[in-house]
Amino acid sequence: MTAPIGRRSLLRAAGIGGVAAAATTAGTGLALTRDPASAAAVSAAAAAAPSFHGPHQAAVLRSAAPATIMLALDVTATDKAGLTELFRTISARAAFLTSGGLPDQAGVSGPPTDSGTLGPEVVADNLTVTLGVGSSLFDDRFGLAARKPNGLFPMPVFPNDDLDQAQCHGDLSLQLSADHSDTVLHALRDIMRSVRGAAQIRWRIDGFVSPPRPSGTPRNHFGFMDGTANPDVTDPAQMSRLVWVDPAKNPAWTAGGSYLSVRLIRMLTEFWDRVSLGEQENMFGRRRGSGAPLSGHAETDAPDYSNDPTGETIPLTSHIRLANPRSAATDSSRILRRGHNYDRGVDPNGNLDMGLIFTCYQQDVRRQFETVQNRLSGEPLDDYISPFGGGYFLVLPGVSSGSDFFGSALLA
Amino acid sequence: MMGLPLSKIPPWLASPKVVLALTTAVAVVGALVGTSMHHTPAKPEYAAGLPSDALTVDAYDCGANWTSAKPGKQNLLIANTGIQTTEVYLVDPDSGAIYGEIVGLAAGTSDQMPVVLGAGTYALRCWPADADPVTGPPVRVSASASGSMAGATTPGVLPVSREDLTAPVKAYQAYVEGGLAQLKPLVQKLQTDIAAGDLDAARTDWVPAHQQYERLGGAYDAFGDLGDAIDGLPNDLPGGVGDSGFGGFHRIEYGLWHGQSAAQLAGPAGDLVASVDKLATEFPGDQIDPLQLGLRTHEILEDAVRFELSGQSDQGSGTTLATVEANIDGTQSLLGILRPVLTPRDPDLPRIDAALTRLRALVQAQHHADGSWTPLTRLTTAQREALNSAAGGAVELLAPVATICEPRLDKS
Ligand code: HEM
Repeated sequence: MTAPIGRRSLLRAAGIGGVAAAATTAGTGLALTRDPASAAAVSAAAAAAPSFHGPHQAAVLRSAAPATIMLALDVTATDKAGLTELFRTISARAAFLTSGGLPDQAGVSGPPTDSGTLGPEVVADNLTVTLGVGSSLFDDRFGLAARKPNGLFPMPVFPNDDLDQAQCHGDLSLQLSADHSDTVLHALRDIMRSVRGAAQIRWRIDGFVSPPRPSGTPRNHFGFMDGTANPDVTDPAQMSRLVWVDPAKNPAWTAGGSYLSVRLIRMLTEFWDRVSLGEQENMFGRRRGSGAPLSGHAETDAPDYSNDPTGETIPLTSHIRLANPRSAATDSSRILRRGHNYDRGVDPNGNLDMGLIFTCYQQDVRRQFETVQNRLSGEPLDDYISPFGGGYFLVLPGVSSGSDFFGSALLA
Repeated sequence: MMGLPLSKIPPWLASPKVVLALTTAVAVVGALVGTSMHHTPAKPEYAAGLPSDALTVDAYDCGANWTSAKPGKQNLLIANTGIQTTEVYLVDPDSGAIYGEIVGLAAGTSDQMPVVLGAGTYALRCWPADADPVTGPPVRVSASASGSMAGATTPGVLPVSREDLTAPVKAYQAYVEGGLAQLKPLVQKLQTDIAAGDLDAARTDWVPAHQQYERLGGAYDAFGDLGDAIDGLPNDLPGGVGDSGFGGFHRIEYGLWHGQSAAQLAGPAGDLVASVDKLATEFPGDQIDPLQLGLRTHEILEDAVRFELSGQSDQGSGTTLATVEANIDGTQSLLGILRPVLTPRDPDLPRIDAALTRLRALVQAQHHADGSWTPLTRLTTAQREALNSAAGGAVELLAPVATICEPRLDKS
């Protein structure tokens, strides 16, 4: 709650409204350029899920799906053979669930193999199944210690964190995303049943992405469009610079993978709703209604910092300006964000437990997520959010074919 | 999976479960071989709305219009054009192994039987109420399916008759009777301790007495109201632990570990002895439905997962794992009794044994030299995950026992 007073009074004087403010900035002669990053995000939103088999896991470059379940699993299999069987099973289930079809039938040899919650025939519904490994998998249980990438380590505690260890870390991350919640719930039951005895859920959180209101990028619980600015997933050069692991700095088995940071962040919506619109917009550096940067008028306009060195237009402490100063020096710290809203009931005080499942993909957690997180440290938004869980994972390379399986190179 | 059940649960990974190998058929098509035994009287008109492409069954004819079948995943649509309700089975006409069933297909109705057909010979077998079974013509399937229709061939299981279960039912009856005879002196000792005001001795003697009861497989209402009187929980009583209807082992446990006096516990201890006496007297006269054997074999541990490993049943003694150990004893005893029935029918029996051995080892690791047990609440996350996972793996494997041991194709 430390938005500069001067800035607030300026907004009030200008009249709070996207058009008036945009006119003000336009009047200052700032150039309004279309933001290539946001254009990419919007166009990717329409893309359907690519096939399960491929060099990369399908969900990494796909925009956030309407329904998601994020899980951390701990492996209870006790040796490498057990871990291998676990990965093979998840791969086989994922291959089936992401393409759909009639389930196998047990006849009278057991209960039905399928829960039936999607009807007699499983629909694919753009399901993606994304498996990652956490640093704890590389302890002495499976003989993998020597294979641990240097870039994989436990998520530390950041300023403003209030971490619940029961909702942090895990041997594996498993994210199930699809167009509808019945599909992800069906996949969750199917996979967990098939790995029972070999892995146990450590924590789980369900999320969703709202429809565009009224258009553009969907909104978060604070009413702001969230996911506008991202690296361009259609540009392979950018992806190999920012998203896929760097083969020169990682073990060969990681090729095609990507580092995933998960942060479970409560959003204090009651408190937020008692904050003036101008202050809200200054905290992000964007208009709530249109999603436009305070230096522009459309969501896809690029924020202009070069003509605004003192933060007259977009405060220096605003979330977008700290997160991505858009300078040559900070370019390599950009991350590919894939956030989902979560909503899970009421806290002991009677306040709503709502927030953001923040996930981002990157080439290097220290160089990217942690650098961005450290720049954001102490931002005004901190007063309205409370990170309580999450973890760092390496999302495995893709499963190349029906005979391949997750982590085959790791376990070879 | 360390001799673990993993591959069982996902049938697509499991070893073929077909009990009697299917003869590899030479050719497909038009295989209307033999079965001229049934006569074909004038058929009743199709009931309104019955699908015309269905395989039809009635008192004399069981799928006579089923002449050829393709391999792979499919739904056999079966319509009862007769005037009697009938059971419909898909069988191997040579071995009698069952691949699928529709229970109680009423006259004028139709239903789908989902199945994955592999190379072999199949036939429909109908058993109408009050009539003899009729087997339809054998249909040969050669080769196996490819692409999205391929799947793990539905395993055939030899039907279990009531007669097959006569000896196991007697053995179970003897097991419970013997167990109740052992229980009597243990609850009497508990009562004596309390009468003598020796609550330390009572706390020590409560554990083996309770374990002995938990060995008997009284899960999920198996012993009716007496089961509640002996081992009920306070959860559904309006007054909770203070409710006058709260009695039995857990009532005494509550008192012994919450500082209640011997005088307060004398009544409940007397009632417990009386209830156990009553059960020991009444049980030998009770008829046990053979269906119950398979059900109890998996429900004892289902009950442990729900009430014990959740921590729900503990009223202060912290001996949940002692209870689970007794539940494993009970499960293994029932499995031993059913073993002759299961051995030719459930190829996963060795995996069940291994899963129970693993669970027992994890439980016993918490039983200390001084006789005490680690309470659930003092287990580390990893220990609790390992226990929950092992128990989950075991119940997943035990579930088919109930389906396989259900009496089929015999009416006595
Ligand atoms: C509950 C917590 C958060 C909320 C409500 C939030 C909200 C937003 C909003 C509304 C935007 C502007 C629209 C957009 O470009 O997507 C944004 C942008 C961004 N946020 Fe966050 N965010 C949160 C946490 C984080 C965290 C933890 C990070 C990384 C450490 C982060 C990094 C970014 C980045 C990199 C951008 C894009 C900046 C740009 O390229 O212009 N955010 N966020």
